[in-house]
Amino acid sequence: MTEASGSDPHRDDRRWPRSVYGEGDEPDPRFSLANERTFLAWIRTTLALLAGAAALDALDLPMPDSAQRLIALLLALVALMAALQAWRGWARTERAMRTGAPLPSAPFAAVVALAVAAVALGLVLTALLRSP
Amino acid sequence: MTRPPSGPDRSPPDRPPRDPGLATERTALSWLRTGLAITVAALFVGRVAVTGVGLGAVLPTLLAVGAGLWVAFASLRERSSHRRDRPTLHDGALPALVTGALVLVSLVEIVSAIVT
Repeated sequence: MTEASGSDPHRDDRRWPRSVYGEGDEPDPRFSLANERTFLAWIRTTLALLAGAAALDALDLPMPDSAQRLIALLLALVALMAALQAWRGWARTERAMRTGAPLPSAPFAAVVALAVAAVALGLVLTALLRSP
Repeated sequence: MTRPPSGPDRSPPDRPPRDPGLATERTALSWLRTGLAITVAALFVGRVAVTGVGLGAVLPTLLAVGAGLWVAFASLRERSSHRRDRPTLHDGALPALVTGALVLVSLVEIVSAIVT
């Protein structure tokens, strides 16, 4: 409760975090719900990246061990960052909708796309190098 | 009115009553499948990591599994609360829980990829 003054409309609002709900007006609830689903889409992206990393970790693929571990590590690192982006994007979007500011962009999406493309390229190259 | 005193239900009188339509249903189902996916993924990553990382992978995995199940059950509660026309409060608590759980699972997998 940072602003507990007399006529503050946010005084009775217990929602967390205050950095999001402490200012601005209630947006249309449909927009807040859409923002939640966008958050969840990022979370499921994280899960897909993690599943790929764990699969590379567990399977014994016909490729150099070091390459396999490197790709698994790359996927897990991008998964970690995607989870943090999910939260950051949710909070910034919700705040922007409350204050009427333009919605924030998510340049991290390009990082995910590049990393997945790099992993795919790596897998294709190792497969090509093995075939006669 | 037994609604909570705060939150999205305090619509100003000059606005029409809120009708999110099927957006609440869509969102609750999205939470449900994400919660189930978190549970399964945490178990999978934990099972893979425990061979290389050892018992250190167990606690974060169990925490993440608990978070996933919590989210799944919370979404089911949310759906029944909407049927009783008493929407629950949406805020950043559940997103923060989910983010924390996935950070844990990611760290387990990162360590596993390094030490295996």
